[in-house]
Amino acid sequence: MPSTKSQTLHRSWRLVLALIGGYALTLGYMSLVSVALPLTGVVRSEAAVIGLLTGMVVYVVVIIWCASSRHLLRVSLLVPSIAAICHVTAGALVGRSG
Amino acid sequence: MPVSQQFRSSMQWLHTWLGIALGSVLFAIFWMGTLTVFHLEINRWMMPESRVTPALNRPLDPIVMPHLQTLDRGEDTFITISRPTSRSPFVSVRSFGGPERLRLTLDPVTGEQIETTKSYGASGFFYPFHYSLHISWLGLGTWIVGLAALSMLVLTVSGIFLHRKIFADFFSFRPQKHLRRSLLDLHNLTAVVALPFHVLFPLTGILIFVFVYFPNSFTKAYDGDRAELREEMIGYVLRDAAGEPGELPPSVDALVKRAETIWTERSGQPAHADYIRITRAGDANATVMVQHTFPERQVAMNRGNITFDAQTGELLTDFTPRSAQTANAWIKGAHFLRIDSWALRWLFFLGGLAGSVMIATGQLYWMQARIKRGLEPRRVRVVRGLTIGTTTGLILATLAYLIANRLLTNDVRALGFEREMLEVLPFFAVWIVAVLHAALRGRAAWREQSIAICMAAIAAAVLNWATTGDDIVRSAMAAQWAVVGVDSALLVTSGIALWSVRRLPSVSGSPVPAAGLPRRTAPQAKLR
Repeated sequence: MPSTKSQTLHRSWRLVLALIGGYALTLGYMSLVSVALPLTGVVRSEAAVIGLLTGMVVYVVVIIWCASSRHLLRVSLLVPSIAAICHVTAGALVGRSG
Repeated sequence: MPVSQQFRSSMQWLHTWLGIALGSVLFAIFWMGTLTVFHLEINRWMMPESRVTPALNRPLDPIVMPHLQTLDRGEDTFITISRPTSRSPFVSVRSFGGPERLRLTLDPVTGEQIETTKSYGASGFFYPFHYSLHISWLGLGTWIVGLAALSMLVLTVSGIFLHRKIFADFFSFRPQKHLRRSLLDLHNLTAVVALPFHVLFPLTGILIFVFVYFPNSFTKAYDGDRAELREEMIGYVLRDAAGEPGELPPSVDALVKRAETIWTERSGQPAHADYIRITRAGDANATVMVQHTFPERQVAMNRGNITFDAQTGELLTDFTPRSAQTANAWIKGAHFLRIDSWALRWLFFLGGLAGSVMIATGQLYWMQARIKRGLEPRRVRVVRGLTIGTTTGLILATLAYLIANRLLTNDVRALGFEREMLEVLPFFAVWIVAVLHAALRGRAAWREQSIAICMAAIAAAVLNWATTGDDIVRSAMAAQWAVVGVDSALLVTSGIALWSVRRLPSVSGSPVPAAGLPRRTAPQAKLR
């Protein structure tokens, strides 16, 4: 399996996207769960734990997705966008759950 | 499962890249974690003064109160008392902050102060190595371990996708085939057999440090209110200082008894408090927190946490985890594994060993494949030095640490270092030498380091007998199972090393195979 320079470059980018983009998305997901679930009546501490327990699954799935997607450009845009949406939504909801 | 070729090939490079990038770190974490399963037992081997039969559930007041009363306390004095368990026999009293510090190890019956061998033991060296690599700068070590754990999860998932015939591989180990094939067999075998552990260890490990790795995310709902967060998540109550001096609780035992009664009535099972924490010990707002951190009969930890007012004895909070928290407590407990079950502990130990073998064989397989495809000799040297040096070299370094522990006298100081550090230095010295040796000697290093392991393991066991008089038979007669266990593990290690030496061919000459030959004509089939 000879790997060309551009293939190595693409794979390096996928890995960076997977680790850093995935991290940002996981952080956003956990924030969102921790503030959104209490709005539906879940106790705050329980929402936090549900967020962190499922967050790891999210992270691993995002990594696999970034590594394997046929459409590199699409994931490169989608992962940061989803992360941003989660963060912004969580930020907007944060005061209301108290 | 129907997986496209393209998907498989992406899993292939992901598996290879992460495995090669973090293989050595992962091996170190797995090896140290495997040792940490028995850290309290190794402690007792390294500190012979603690080889006594534990006296459990003795009153604490006569043992600890005299020391607490004479302690110069302030509003930022925090005291932690840990009770003896069947695995660690002494009462420990530690204080933090405030004008004076306490650091006492006490006999639970006589209250006598015990001077144990000045050593970090396993709890102070292998254990922090496992989660921080002893790199404290900016918490970098913990983050590297986190990255390695995440990679381990991804490696496991990608490995499963790469695998089409899990059950066929389960039964195929062909040690007589050529080395590359048997390496891959062994990699697959250990991967499949211990699969649950390869998910459990890294996942639970990350969750233990989740406050470090994902700060201010899953706790967003608390909006920065740390006091409320601590109270709702872990039941930790810290009151503001009143600014007036206060008394200590008249009796710790009375509070422990009250907490244990509450737990026992709630769960219907006997519960024993293990940690007692006094916050703001010199202040009128001092509290006493009685904890049930490691239950004897459950995997789940943090089963209860009751806080009393230190002055009045009034019950302030009674924390019990809710359902998701209980799940989390189970997950963390499944990593700490303090449940009183030797069967489980050995199972985890074997799971850790299987993981170590899987990581090492994975790296070796990659190395052999690269050599076969032709890799410049200088790079083979580097890769081989790292691979051998971080596997057999790390085992040798561990043995050097144990040997140094038995050889040094208790009052030794040298080179400006305390005794504790003088045990650690041989560890790192041997490790570095092993890496260099592997880089210089090439594949002969396997055999030579295996011989060294074989001898060092015997030496450690013999030194234990020579310096303490506890040979295996005597330890067994005295029911010192911790000592018997460590000594037996050393002898078994020695035996395995000897078996490897006999299986590994003695190679002389050409430290880097095929270095001077045109690569295509190198005798591949005999390459080991």
